[in-house]
Amino acid sequence: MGKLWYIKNPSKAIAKTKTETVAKKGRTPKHYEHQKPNTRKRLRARKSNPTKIRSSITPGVVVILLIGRHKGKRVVCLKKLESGLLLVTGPYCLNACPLRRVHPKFVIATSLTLDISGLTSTKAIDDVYFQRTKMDEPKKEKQTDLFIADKKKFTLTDEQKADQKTVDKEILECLAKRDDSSLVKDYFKSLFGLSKHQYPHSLKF
Amino acid sequence: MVFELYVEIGRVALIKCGPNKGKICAIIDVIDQNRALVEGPSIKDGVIGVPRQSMRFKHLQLLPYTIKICHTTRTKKLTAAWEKSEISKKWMESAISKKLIASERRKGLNDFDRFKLMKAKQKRQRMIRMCMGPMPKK
Repeated sequence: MGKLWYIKNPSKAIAKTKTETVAKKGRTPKHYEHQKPNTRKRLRARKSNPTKIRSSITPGVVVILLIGRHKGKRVVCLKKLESGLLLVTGPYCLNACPLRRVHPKFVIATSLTLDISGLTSTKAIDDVYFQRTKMDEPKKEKQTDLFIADKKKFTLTDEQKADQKTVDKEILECLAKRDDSSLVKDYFKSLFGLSKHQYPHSLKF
Repeated sequence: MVFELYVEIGRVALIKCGPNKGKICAIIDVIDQNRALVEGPSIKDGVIGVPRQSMRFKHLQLLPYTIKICHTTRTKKLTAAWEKSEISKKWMESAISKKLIASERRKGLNDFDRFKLMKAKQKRQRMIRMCMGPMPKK
């Protein structure tokens, strides 16, 4: 299959190809009058395919993180972002995992699902929320860099800290509705690990 | 090592592999050195039956129960002998059967279940240690 071409104005494209039947000097023309130019291929617009995440991961599912500094932690999957990443949070008050984006490939979905249908604070959070602003570092000479210790580090804004608190609060409210809420809280606090004779392919999550 | 359980007509065995894994049957006849003719009757509220078929001895685990039958008895007489000896009841009460059920259950636990199990075990150990503590050491 050839390349799929995307054309903004199909009508203009047809008009263009019609005029191209005039031959250039010394060359045979691209199309002859009786031939229809191949516009069908060109007119096929590109389809947008939003990323599909496996059906075991839905909002509210408790998920085990497998990579990163929070590996082994059980966290709540809040939603799927446009970039295809998952938005998760510890909740921070239970296992110190903040509002974070995570790749769905590096995550094990468990069968435990929390009912977070009442959550409203996560609606405003998207990929743009996580974009870090570039810190302006004035160009210094290399030597001076060694002695001057004030390098700008990334810190959370007060707004982000407040967001974390509201999300945590809402999740704990959802948790409190469950009968086994104290067990689930301990479950979040604990880490996942494989012990002897436990093989991931034979374990059920 | 002395053998205690022998292959004989009427010996009850547990099927270890194949589609009938986990079911019990009676040895009705011996075909040759490797194979036996087996059948497990299906009782109304009890164990699911095993249709009459040849089965390799290697796929069978002999159990300490026997029923009194002649070789190649028909299903009706086999069922009658089976129910008379109450094999199904004895099997359900046996330790092996309970262990098999428990191991199946353990395989089906999900991550949260395993966590709850771990917490329950810890709690039990704590209670045992609390009792053991004040006991005088002999």
